[in-house]
Amino acid sequence: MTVLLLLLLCSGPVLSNWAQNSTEAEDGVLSLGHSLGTVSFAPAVPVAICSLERGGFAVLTERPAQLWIIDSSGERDAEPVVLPGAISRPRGIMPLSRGHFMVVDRSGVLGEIDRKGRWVRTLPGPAAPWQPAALARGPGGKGWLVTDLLRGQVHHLDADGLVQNSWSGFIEPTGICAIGEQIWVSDRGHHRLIRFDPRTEQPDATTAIGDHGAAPGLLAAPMGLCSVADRWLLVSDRDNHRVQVFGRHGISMHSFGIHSMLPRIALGRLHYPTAVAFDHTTGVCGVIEPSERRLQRFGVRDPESPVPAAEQWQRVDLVSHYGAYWALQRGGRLLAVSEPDSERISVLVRDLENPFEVDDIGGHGSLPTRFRTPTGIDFVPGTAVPRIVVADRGNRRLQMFEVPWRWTGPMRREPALIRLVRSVDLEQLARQYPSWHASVPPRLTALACSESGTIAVCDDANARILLLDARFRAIGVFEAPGLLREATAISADGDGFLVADAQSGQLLRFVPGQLVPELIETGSTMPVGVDRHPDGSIWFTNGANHSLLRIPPGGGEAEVILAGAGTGERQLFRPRAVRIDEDGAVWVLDHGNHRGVVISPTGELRHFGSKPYLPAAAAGSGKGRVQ
Amino acid sequence: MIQHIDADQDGNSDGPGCLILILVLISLLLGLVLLFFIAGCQGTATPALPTGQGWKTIASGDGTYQVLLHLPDPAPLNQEFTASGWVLKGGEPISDDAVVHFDGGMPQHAHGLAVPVVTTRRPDGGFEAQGVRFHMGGRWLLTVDVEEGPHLERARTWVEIR
Amino acid sequence: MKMILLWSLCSMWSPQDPQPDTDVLLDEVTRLQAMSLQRIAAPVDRTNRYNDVPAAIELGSLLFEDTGLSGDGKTSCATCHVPERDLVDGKTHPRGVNSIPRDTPTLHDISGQRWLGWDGRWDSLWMQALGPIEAIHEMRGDRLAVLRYLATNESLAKRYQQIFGALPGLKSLPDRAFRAGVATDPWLALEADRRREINRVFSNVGKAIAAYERTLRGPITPFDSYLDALSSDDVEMASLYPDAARRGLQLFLGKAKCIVCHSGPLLSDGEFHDTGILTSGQRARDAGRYGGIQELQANPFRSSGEFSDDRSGSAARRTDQLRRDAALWGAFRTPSLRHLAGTSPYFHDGSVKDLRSVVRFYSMRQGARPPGAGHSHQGETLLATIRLNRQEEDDLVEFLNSLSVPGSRQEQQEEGGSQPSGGL
Repeated sequence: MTVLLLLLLCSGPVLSNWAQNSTEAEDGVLSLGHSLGTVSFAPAVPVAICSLERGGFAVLTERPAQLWIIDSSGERDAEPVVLPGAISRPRGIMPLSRGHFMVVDRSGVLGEIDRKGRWVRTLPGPAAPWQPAALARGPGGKGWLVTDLLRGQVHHLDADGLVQNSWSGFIEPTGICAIGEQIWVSDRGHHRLIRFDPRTEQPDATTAIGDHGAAPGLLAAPMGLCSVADRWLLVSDRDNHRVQVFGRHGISMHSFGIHSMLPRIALGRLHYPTAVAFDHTTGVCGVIEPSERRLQRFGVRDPESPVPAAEQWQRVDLVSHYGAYWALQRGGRLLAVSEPDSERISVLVRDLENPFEVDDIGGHGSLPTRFRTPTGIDFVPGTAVPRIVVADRGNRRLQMFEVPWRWTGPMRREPALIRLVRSVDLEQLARQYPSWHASVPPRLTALACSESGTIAVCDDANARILLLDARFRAIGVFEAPGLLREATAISADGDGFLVADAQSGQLLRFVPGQLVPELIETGSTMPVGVDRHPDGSIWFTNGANHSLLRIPPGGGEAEVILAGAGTGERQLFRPRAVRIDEDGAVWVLDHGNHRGVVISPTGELRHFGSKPYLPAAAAGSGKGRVQ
Repeated sequence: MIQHIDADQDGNSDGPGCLILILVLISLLLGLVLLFFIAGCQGTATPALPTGQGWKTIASGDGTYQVLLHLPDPAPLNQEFTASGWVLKGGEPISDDAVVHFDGGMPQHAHGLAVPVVTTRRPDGGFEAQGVRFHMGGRWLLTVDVEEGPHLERARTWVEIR
Repeated sequence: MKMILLWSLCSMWSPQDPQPDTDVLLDEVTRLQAMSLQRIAAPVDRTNRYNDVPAAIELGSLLFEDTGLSGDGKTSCATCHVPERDLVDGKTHPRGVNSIPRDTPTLHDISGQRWLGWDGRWDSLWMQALGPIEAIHEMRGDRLAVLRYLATNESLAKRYQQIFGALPGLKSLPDRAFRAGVATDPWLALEADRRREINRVFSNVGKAIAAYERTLRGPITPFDSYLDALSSDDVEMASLYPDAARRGLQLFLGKAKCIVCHSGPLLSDGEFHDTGILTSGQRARDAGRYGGIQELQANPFRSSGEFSDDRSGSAARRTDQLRRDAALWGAFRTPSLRHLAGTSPYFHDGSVKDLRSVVRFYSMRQGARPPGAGHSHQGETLLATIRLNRQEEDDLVEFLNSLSVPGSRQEQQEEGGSQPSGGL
């Protein structure tokens, strides 16, 4: 008894110290921003993070799929925990007692693992197919909250993983957490934080917090969320390269992080942060940057040190960040670029040293001419006035624009040049066309238009390709169960279409009327862009090792044309679309380098785009040669 | 009800009165058929195409629709007014199910109408948008979107406000 | 001979005064443009049926100067809108959770505005009158305290009841309805009808104040006299208008293009624009119209709310049809340019001291956010560098001064300066 009393007396000050420290830590949320260093996971890609009760963080990586523990001082365990085979692309993690964790995989697998990475139990979760993006504790600490990117839903599961309640109306719910009884969801498609009381309300994006933009309180692709003391919310504002701190009232009170350009140094700079967590014992915020393969830790800033961050958003140099897709006008001079980061498409005159942007159209939203993540794009052949079709992923529609541009003299921007002609809601159209019925709404990615006027758009959610005519009437569908899994690129190829499948590493050639596509092996690659050259060869980009390859006419082993992750003249970084014009010039969208690379028919290399990424910026030429 | 008139068993028929009855009934039937045919051919009355001050005729992007748009002439600066008109498809007014959206903006200044307007369909088949206000002088781009089922097509025109 | 030569040389080299514009009545096109700036009667506001009721106007005038509406009993509307100072106090004041500074605007001709507040968070004059009464950085009052004050002040109670009817009882009412902008639990625990009753009284107070404020017409200015001369072709009267001001008017309508936004009788289109003013620190969080729309649509005293006397009219329709748009982040209401001279400092945050600096900002765009940068790709591209020369700047300032009575101008020259205040 005496011992017990003594213990209680001794622990009193310790407990009160912890409580006091905890409050101080939480109050420091509005002063976060001082970089405490980074933890590297290269070559693995960190994807999810949670804080630990005793302090520190747990981080999940993919490629390879591992669990890392980082202690309060920022030191990483010497060895990671290897995750079970079913967890190959983890997306969420939450701590449990006894050092166990609840984890969820992109494929929909949800379960508990122990500290050694062994399965303890599997939880059922929502009915398949579903694609989780985030995992959190339920309101009041009861059960679990998970998001489903495939259906745009959020689910509340009980402790055994059974669905208690589900809510719809989201586009891309990427982060979730509960503050008291309220649920907060970050929706990348809406660029908003949607909050609701699950007992009394339905989520309503129209009254949600934020909008697409860079100003305080606006968001650009919000991703991870975590709450602090039920008072604050940390949000990783991905495309703004910062973390914002919101109060429960929904007002943005603070932000930290500035976009890091080249070289991608840390020191408080961020590059596409995704997941975020807060260590309550130390007041340290952990921010995951998958593209940098690292975790950055942030503490409280010295109040004396100058903070230029508040100015930065006002001087943001909104340079084009080419997305994953672009298109060349056949027999013309135009280049159309899809820019999902800025929710717009732009049209440039391409046959100049530096392609000149004549106009753009877009902005975030669902009204005509706006987008919710534009993806695939292509010119419609054979029109008197150039026309472009754009896949509008979040709005599940196609939009067709006319670009009545004519060369008249000095290049200049012409506002309102690009004009909307028509659009079609594919979800509605599917109801009228039985072959298009599917269990989940379409998720549009790559797009191509053939010479015959057929428009083919890839539906990622249902592993198929939808076919329409130039008036957006449904005319068919390509499906190849087991063969076509994740179409990342498509191009018109004579009487058919060439499709790149990143999951299988294959190229497929579909021809209307043929049930089975032709398969073209590429080796162990992740093709993300493809097109046919006039000489019959096939050019494709490989997302796995940052390269451009060429399959000779008639087939055979792929030859490497450009390779190596970097900004050098013959290097690429996360390349995407490939388009080849009728003269044989190859246009490569070098996405990660914010630039385009053009290989002329004679092998000369040319680069254009964001200056810091041009290989010969100092020399001023931007030109080279492919051997 | 049409009665079938049969000969009796020994081949004798009824007198001429029955024949007349049959003829009358057939005539009535033919008349009814003709009436339905004529009524069916006549759709809703096609309005006479308005012309003159304030009216603009605009074709949609692919020529599917013809929009007859009316604005005050000249359109006032920074004062509310009602934009109205008709949408024709193949020379006929569009169905009541079709949705029409009127909007305006100054793309060179990256803004739209200061207060968005709601476009409603009128009982006579036309459309109107109340509260349109061009709050700045200069060139305004006006758009009329016609939505039928999953398909939307746009007509647009410019107007100069002084 | 030498003297003649010398005189000739001197006259050649002496600075030339600008050639006076001989056409004091302006050319036809310019005159028509100028006439569009002529004062007109304020539009009718049907959301307040007491606007033209003399007793309401009188009550409003008393309440305008009554410190009893404030939390500390020391502040009234007139504390910031000083009648002797063109209805301003020459200061900026913090507002909201982030304590963002906002410049006190004048109330001259205020009834002509469609939206009120720099961010348009109020859509009627009576709604606006209620805002500062409860604002934490302004009068720090409370609607329950206002009710108690009215009920216990015999004279005010009598006036109130003659216009609006009986006051509700005070029994079992909580101390405050709001604390630091958040509704108190006791207030929320009241029956809905009771809260509605009290809100009705509060809205009536606003309506009385608004009825008075509608009478605040600014004085006739030299520019108004000039416009009268133009409309009656009175050359003699038009000649009294200073040449510099007339040149400034021509710049205003022409090269400087101020009229694009500063149009109409109030020299304001009444809408919202982002002029690219760079702000720093806490000031960088001023959402302008974007935040204003959200506040307006959430406010029960808006034109479409239950306390409006015209819930289905055009004002209500406008408010309900507003749509939040990120492009409006940082856009502020085009202020009226009338009676401007005595209302330094300028801009929504009071960051600029004098009219010359205002003109210089628009002319050279120094320190302004580049077009297309900032909150979105699709930024405002209206404002470009004009590059006025010194003379042109002087002329434009003279024109702006002519939009006020001469006394105000004198006062502005003596005092000037912005004095950010930490509160009242």
